[in-house]
Amino acid sequence: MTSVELTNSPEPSLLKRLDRTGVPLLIARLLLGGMFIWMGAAKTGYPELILKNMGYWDSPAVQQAVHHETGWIELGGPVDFLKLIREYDMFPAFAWPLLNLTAVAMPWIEVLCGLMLVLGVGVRGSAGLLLALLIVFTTMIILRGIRIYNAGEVASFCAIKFNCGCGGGDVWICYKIPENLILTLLAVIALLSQARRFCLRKNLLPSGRAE
Amino acid sequence: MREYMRVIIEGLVIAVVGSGIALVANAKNPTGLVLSKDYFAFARGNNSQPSTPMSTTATAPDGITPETSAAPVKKEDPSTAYIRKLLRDNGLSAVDHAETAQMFQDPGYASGLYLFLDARSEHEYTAGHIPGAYHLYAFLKDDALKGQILSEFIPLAMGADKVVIYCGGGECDDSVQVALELPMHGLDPAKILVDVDGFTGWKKAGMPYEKGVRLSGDIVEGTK
Repeated sequence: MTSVELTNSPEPSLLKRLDRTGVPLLIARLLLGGMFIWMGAAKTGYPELILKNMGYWDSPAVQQAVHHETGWIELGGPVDFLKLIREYDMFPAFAWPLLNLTAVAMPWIEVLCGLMLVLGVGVRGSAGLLLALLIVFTTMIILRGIRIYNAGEVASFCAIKFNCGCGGGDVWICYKIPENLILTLLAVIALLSQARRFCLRKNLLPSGRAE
Repeated sequence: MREYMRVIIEGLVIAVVGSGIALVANAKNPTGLVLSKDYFAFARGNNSQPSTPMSTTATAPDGITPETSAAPVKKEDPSTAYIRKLLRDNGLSAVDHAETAQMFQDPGYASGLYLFLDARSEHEYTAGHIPGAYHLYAFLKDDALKGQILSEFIPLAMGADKVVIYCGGGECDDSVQVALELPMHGLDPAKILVDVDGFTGWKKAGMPYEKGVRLSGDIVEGTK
């Protein structure tokens, strides 16, 4: 660009200036990453395994926290997740190996993406992958809610509550959908942000141009 | 376009690495999945499908406008229809809570005339089970442990009049999975009954339940 062109270049928009600070990306990374580390880890079966091996599983505090009726943490494992995602009829009957693989792999992919976002490594790839998962599963949650509503078992759509397999136990559908939409927005921010501040290595793969 | 391709490839790399970690973690996890096992073949064999998804409630949360928080539509629970059909298709018999409670209260229960078998996870079993019920998790990965449990249970079941298997109730079909396995070890299918109301129905009826291991003595009197 010539000096005249540089002088006359338009002022960046407010959004772009805000993005350049790196703060929106940092907030999006930490919130999105933290949520998926939590939700994914709760489905791997390892928190329970680790607590048992350390001898803390039977302590009153842990038992109270994980009680399946009155607790505030829903810990499960691949088997529990398998039973939940089976309800979505994601795959045809003959593709049961894919169902098994999804039940095993998805929680760990969520944890890995969450960790990478928090650390600021491979931000776009992680955010893109989580965005794809969010779009697919939010759609399936909505469709399942419609199926339940059409079955005539509940008085209103917002009265629907079920375990969506998201790692938080039974949830009200009218809380879950907005929650997922917010997470989707955070994933979009992380995906589209041009900022590099506060990232350890934003692009996992080399971009092929000067950074 | 090149930038989008790079993001897609980055995402795929992360997915592959994540899947690799998952496979290793699952192999080391004693409560993991056996990837080569079709866990729900028993439910597919006769085109049996859950009629409605599990865990639905009809009480609206606070903050929802009053006109949408109407009382639940009262109907017979259709989820037991799925389990009953599954049992019929597999030549097994269903019982409900009333019949299970009758057997529990019969003097024959203490003498081993009736046996109860809990098919839920260890966590759910220790949190509360029918007093004296044995435990065999439908998804138990450890074949050696499963074999040990069955080698102890089957002889007792052979001498019993009835064996009642239960899980969570509703559309929980873990009990059916266990019920289908017992005849493979020599138990007469005519002895096997599946309680379609499950432990949820047991607790709802205010029946006592036992916490911890079998015969722990930690009995909780139920409340309706």
